[in-house]
Amino acid sequence: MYSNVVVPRQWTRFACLCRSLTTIEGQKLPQTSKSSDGISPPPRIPRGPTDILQALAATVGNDPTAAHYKYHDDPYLIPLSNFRKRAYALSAEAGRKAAAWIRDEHAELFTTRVFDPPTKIKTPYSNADPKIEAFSPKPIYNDESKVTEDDLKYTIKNALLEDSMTVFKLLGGVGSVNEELKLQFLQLLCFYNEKEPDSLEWLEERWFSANMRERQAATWRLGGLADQIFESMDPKTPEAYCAMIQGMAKYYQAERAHNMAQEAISKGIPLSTSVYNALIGCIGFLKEGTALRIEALKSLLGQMNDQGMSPNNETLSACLRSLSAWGGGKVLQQMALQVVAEFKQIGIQPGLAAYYYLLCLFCKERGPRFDILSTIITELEKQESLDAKEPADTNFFITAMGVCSDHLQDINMAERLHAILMKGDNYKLVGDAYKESIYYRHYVTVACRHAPFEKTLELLDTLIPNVYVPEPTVMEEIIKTLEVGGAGDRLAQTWSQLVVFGHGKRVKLVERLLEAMINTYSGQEPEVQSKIRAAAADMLNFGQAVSEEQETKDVRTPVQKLSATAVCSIIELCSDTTDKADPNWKSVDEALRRLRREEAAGVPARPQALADVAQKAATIGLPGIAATAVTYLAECGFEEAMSASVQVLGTMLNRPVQEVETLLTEQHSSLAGSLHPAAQAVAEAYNIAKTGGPVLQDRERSSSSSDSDSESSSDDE
Amino acid sequence: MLTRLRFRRDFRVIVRCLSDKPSDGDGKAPESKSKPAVTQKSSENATEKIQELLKLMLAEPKIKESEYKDKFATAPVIQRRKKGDEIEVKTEKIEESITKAAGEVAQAIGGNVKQTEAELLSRVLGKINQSSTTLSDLLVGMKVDRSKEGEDQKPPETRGQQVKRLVSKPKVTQETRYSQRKGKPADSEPRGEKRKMPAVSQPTVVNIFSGQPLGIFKAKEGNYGTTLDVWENLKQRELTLATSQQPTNYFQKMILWTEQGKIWKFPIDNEQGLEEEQNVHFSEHIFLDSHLEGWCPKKGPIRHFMELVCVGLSKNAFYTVQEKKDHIMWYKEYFESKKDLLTEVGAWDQAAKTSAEASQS
Repeated sequence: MYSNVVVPRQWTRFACLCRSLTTIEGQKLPQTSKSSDGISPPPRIPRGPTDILQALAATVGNDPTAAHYKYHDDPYLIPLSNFRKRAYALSAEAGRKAAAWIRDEHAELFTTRVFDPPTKIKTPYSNADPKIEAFSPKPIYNDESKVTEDDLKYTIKNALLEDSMTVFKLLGGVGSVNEELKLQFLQLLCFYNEKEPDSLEWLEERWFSANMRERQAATWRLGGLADQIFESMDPKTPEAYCAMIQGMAKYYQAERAHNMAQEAISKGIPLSTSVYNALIGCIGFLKEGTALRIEALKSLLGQMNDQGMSPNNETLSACLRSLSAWGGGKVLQQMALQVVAEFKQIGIQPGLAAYYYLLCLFCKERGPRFDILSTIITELEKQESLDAKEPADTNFFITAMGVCSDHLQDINMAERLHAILMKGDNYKLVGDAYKESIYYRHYVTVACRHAPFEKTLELLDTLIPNVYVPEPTVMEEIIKTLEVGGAGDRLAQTWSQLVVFGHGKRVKLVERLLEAMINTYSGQEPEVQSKIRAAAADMLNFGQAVSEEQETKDVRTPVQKLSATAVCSIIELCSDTTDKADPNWKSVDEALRRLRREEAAGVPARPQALADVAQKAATIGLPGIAATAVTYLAECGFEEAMSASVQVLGTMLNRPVQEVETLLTEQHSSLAGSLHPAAQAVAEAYNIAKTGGPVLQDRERSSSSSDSDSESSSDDE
Repeated sequence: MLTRLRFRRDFRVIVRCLSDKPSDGDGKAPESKSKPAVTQKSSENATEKIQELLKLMLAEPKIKESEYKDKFATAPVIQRRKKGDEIEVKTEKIEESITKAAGEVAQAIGGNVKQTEAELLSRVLGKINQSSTTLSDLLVGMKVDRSKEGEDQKPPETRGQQVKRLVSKPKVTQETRYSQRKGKPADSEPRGEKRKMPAVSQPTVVNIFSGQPLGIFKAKEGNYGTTLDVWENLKQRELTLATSQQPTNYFQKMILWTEQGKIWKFPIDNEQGLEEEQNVHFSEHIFLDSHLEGWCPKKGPIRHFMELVCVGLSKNAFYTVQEKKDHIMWYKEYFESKKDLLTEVGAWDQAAKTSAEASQS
């Protein structure tokens, strides 16, 4: 009995030991989940190398208040304008590229083992052990390189197209490479049409390169290396045919691709679904006219079915791509719907690219408004996560947001769409920097136009500036929204944003902002008003700094100057103070000087405002400013100059208007000498305004001499 | 526009009254009124009349000028050319009739006939046709007169007015040009807005799955035909390229580096990348004496040396087992190549013997 008890216990202990031993030795756990002691460990879940990291990464949320992770987390190095974002990111990558270049150029420094005795140094060997492929120097192929077929395999595997072509030539060209390798090489050539693809390694370059839409023209290189290789292959395998047809169709050599497909079919060579997808993509190049093209598409689909090829997801998007490329109209739209229904019937759901083409087809800029987006969004909201299936998928979100903004003008739809993009790791589908900024341009625009004001502000706060820096057009939209919403403090902030985003020199924007400030100014709290005043004064200083910079640095493109109307607005804003000592009066003075020096374009649109400012300055006890303003008005020949000068003079001399008028109509010379210089200037201005034009050149000289006399004379105010 | 119309009317009146006179010959309604009056009254009266006439006429060159200016500013050169012929023809006729009329008037006034005629003509024709050679001698006094009159009539533009005019003009032309060029869109935009406004509530909802199937394909098991492995790989590559983004936190960076093979994969194992040696027991690395068996002397300097080599190799963490073996074998070959010398010295002979003995025993 006793032994009976003991033995099982020891037995379990032994088993335990064994298990721990195997764990230690081979890192393996028993797969059986049952153990005799009643404890059943869960079965081991096999994990990939990045699973834990992905789980951890998923716990890190988005922080819109921080710059992107790729930038240095240093206040001085956080980019706030689009230009800087691009420059900083690309500079960082340029550093990495420089390092890689040195590594490749001086590969011999990295291919020796220091612990090897000198006689035993093995040349192609890494200093690192284990060798890390990513860090080892990349081979450089030139005309003198000694190459083997392994090199060709390596270049094909890494899609180094130009290197592979060099290696292929060095190996002896068409004649001396074995068929299998030749086929692989042919596929590479056909896929890229003998053009070097983007590197996988340099993410920033791809992110910031403005990949314009592919040119829809026959760019296939006729008689190139691919053609030669195909000619030399004997027997021509189905793979070779497929590669050639797909390549030609991909680069819109439609006629030859279709001919070759017919040739292959007549020879009984089995083609593939991908071949048909490619052919469908370029079928529009064979026929002219919608009806004929649709016929051709149908017959090609029929042929595909006859050949026993099953369509797949890409077939659907290829069909829709062709349809959307043929323009718009009811017929094509009906056809597209039919195609979608057809594929749904055989269990193929449209992917993002298909949706994108549908949107292109239905939501034309000036066409009738169709709402197909709501169905699509409902469909997408059902999916847990979106997988990219083809590169065109990245066009979906930008187009859909554009439709929300321009076509449907529906903020709710835009918000739903944005929620989908933000779900999981769907953000990868945004494409590149260019597409991202267009996406946000649409989003912000539609929010500014159609969202409630509070919501818009919230959105702007989240996106700007770390996620998105608005372009001038969007900035204008934002200013408009803020103006309508009457957010004075926001408008004051907007000025600093303009400077930070690098739009400070855009005169049109600044003028728009000033206009908005003027319009919203009156209804604001005093605190906000002072902020607006400060912003307006700063605009003036900024313009000053810019023009100085231009003078010193000899900038090529001339900086546009603020218009006189804008400068007047600044004056109007800055002068809204009853404090004589307010520093803003300095800005007013400076602005007036600028106006008089003709450093502003045009003439003010509302001279009355200037007249008011002059009046106010005179009241407050700043005759100099008042005089400058009135003189400017007079020099410009505004009718307001006369009444303004009379009023200002009246205030200065503290006399009723009639008396001043009679005084002024008196002989001018009698006034000279008896007035304060400022009042003198006002009187001068009155004369200019009255007689029209700078007639009094010589008298001005005399008055200037009398100025010096009157300096000593007491102020009559 | 209104002023121009008025000018034009004036112009017509003048032209009519001037041109009618000669064409109708002597004595018709207008002439009978003006001429007798002139002749009957004294010379003072005549000069007054002339002044009036001149003033009337003066209105005309002003028209011309303003018209020209307007045309020049707004219309392109081609248009002006088109009208040029008409104008030329007209002016030619007018010129003739005016000359005649002026002559008649001057004669009627009497006195210095030539001078009055010249004055009249210079006033009138100076503006219409300055290049006329026949009248060039008559135009001497013209400039002074005109400048004076001009100043009187029209105060010079102030800078403000000038700028305003200049600023406002291009705006207008730009707008017209814009609307001309854009044509339909500019027109349709407000309409579009109007249309949009009601339409905002109800764009046509299209269910994308509402179409009729074409009926070409039947659902069956997939047959995708020939597969191209390199092509598929490249497609995958393009896809990752299209969706790749910079990592947004350190974990993502580590994921990226792991995928690029730059860092150790999880779970961390310090023998990663040494797969070559994975199935080799550590004892094979450490106990290397077995490789000396069969060729190395059991004792003596060579044995001693080789044992030291083995100890050294056993501590080398970098060589693979095969490399260690090769290293030992290299010494074997070396000693064998020096066999003669070694036997002479007495180091190898013994070894050979002992090894032979060992193998026997």
